[in-house]
Amino acid sequence: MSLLSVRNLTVRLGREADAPAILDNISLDVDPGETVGLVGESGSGKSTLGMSVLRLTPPNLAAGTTGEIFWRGEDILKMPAKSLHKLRGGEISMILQDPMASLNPVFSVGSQLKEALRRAGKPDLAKAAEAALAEVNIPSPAERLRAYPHQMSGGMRQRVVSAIGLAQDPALIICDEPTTALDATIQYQFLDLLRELQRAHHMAMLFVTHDFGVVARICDRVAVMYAGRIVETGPVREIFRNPQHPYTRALLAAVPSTSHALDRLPMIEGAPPSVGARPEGCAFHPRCPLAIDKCRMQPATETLRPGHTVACWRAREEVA
Amino acid sequence: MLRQITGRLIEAFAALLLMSLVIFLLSRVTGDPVALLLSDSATEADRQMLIEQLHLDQPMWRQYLSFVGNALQGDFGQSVNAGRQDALDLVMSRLPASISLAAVALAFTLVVGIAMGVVAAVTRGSWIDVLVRVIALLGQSVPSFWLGIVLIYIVSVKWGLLPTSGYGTWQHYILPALTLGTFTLAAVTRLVRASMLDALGSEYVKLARVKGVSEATVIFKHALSNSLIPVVTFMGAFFATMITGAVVVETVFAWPGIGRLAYESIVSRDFPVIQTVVLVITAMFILANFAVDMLYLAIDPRMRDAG
Amino acid sequence: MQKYSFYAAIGLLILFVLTALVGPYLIEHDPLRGSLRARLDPPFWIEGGSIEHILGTDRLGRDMLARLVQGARISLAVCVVVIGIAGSIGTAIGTFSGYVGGWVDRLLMRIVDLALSLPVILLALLIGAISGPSFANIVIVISLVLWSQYARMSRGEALRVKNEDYVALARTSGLGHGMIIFRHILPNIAPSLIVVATLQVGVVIVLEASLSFLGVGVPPPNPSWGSMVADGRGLVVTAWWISLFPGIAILLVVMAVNIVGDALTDRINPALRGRTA
Repeated sequence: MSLLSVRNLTVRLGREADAPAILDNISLDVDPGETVGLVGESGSGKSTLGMSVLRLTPPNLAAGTTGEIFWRGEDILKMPAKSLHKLRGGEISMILQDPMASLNPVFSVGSQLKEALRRAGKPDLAKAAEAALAEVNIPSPAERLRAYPHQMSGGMRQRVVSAIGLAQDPALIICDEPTTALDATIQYQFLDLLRELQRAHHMAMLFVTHDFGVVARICDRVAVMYAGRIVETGPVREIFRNPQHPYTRALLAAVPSTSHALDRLPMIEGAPPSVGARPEGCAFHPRCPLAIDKCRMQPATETLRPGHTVACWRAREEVA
Repeated sequence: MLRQITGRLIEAFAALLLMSLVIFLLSRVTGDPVALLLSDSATEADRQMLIEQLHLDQPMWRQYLSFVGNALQGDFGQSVNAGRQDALDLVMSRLPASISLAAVALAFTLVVGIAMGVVAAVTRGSWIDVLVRVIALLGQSVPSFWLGIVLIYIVSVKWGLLPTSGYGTWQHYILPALTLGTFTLAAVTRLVRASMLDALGSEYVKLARVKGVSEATVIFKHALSNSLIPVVTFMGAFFATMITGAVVVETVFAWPGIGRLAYESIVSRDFPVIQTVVLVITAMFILANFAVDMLYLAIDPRMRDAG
Repeated sequence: MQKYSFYAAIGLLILFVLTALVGPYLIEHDPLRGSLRARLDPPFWIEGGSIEHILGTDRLGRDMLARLVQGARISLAVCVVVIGIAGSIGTAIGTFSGYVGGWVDRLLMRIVDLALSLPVILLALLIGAISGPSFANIVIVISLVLWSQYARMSRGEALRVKNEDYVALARTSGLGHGMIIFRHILPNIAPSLIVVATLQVGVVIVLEASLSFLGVGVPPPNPSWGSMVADGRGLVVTAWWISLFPGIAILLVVMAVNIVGDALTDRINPALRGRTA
């Protein structure tokens, strides 16, 4: 059984049925111990998906959420507040994008870490906190516990955020572009650390990114998102070897230059559509070099090989 | 940190010196200082004595030095009114009433303002939020001298619930403190609401929620602690508003503080007392700003390490 | 809801300005001269009142409505002059300071800090006590209180804009300093300045009224709304209308200004929201 299983998740900007959808009919599975990459440009809805899993979307989005998100078979969207509370941090945790902003500036690093450790019921908080910092390779952890966030570098803070994320031994950790704000050299260091931690804790990981270079380094499977829909999913090797959707190909073509984080892909003409102005049919067709008339209608999601699905009218032709 | 404190102390001293210079120049350059500082009933001998005392026959810088020298010894001259009281003694005797009123008003303002700001931010968009914003808008717009008169008329005269004016029991504090605090209350409410909304939308609050801590901890620990920093930054400004307001409010409620003393001495053109009041209030003001700076250093860890 | 209150506020402000500009010509009563026969007449809907004096008369038998209208004119005049003076001096100093930078900037900003750390309202009392109430005094005094806000704001904006690419480009292409300030920096500062100026209208009106209430503002017999409230203070029990109406006038105008100011803040410079205490 999948650990996390998203079924037909739609998130609209408000309760009305015709409100613009940030996420449109998303289905996705994460198995225990597996790392799934969620790739797309900014505005594709990938971060919203992460927040929806913890039911931490703003009220107007929460009101416009339909579908199911199963956690070990139980629907998170219908969970009572108490179980939800246990789920957050305890079973599913999250590493946020911006290490500069995600630690509270007025409390010491130690006190913020201990908040999470206390919930995990660790007997000796001070010792557990020290061990947690040591695990994320922070030198002289005992002293660092007393430090405030502004006294640390970005890379160091992101490790603290990871330590907080791991504090309650979650079964799934959602990483929302955790390396975007970091320098290029530190990015890969941090990714290797995450990989190590994941093995040590036997966690599953949902890795939100816009960078296929990162995907190649850390993920087992990948789901490519465009304008609120998943356009292609598959094992990382398969997708790299045999990308089907023109959008996936464009993203892959951009990889060599990804030693620098980039938010807009220079290989693809134009910008992704905003939430309110998504084109009919395949949302990518105005930017797609292979677009045909048919693309004005929404293509169905087809399975090409086991585990490899794509939503594109022209995919079959290309294979043939 | 020590460097910052010394820096602030030097600034505070410079501000006080500047104010003394302004007062000095105002009294010497505009018009006739002798006429300003002596009562109408003064004799020629009094005149000569004053000229000698203040070195009015000597160059300006010499006069200023003796003005500052006298001030440092607590000699601000005498009231020109009957009784010829020592100006500093007079001001000091009125100080406790003013400080106690300002303290009550400030406490009321902070407690109610922070509570309203937090409630409004947490219930953003609800009728409670709208109500709080209307109250804040009214409080920000109503002139305090008029509010005082209206309150006296309704609460004291019509309903007979509280004393109309004067000083003595705790009941005497209610209306003046309410009037004095209204503007600041509105300011605190708006400030706390705005910064709470910022904090509630911040990444660190998101992380706290992701950690799974309770909603109460999220609001009162993570969000509120950050929202109080701007309140502390503005404390100096709030205190200034209270001092300014005190002149008006003490006048309306016949409160025996230095605000009313300032008003009375202006009406009776008692310049020695006015200049003393202004200097004493400036000193308090600067002291309060200094205290706020120190408080700010104490609560915001980022400030402690800043240059 | 918010939209309606905004339009209502705009309407009220237009009414205020129109009243100040043309109101005095529409009212036959002289705001400065009363008739002893008509002393303390109540508003027309109270027994003893008459249509002759719609809002009643004051202690000296002067028509309340005529005085209120004249008071609007005084309030508006003080606002325009003060904000003009404080705004241009403060903006000039702030822009210059931010643009020049270096020790000049540090020195000027120290002075701004000092100006902010002095209880200038007491200086107003002092000046009033020495030279007596006058229109010039009140303008000078309120300008002294307010200029530093413009200096702070425009300095920050000038610092920011100075380093933008297009200004660097203008400089390398040989544009003079004066031209850069007028063509590139001031237009960028303008929106923020408009927000500050709007929010200050309320501050100016209340300050002027407070000083006039204390007797060091607009000199009698000119009817400032503040001095009118003071006139009626001793008579609230018997002639409440004297203090009530000018107070309501201040409340309404200041409230309208604050609503408009908040809306502009949201539109133009959201970072300032709630932070203009």
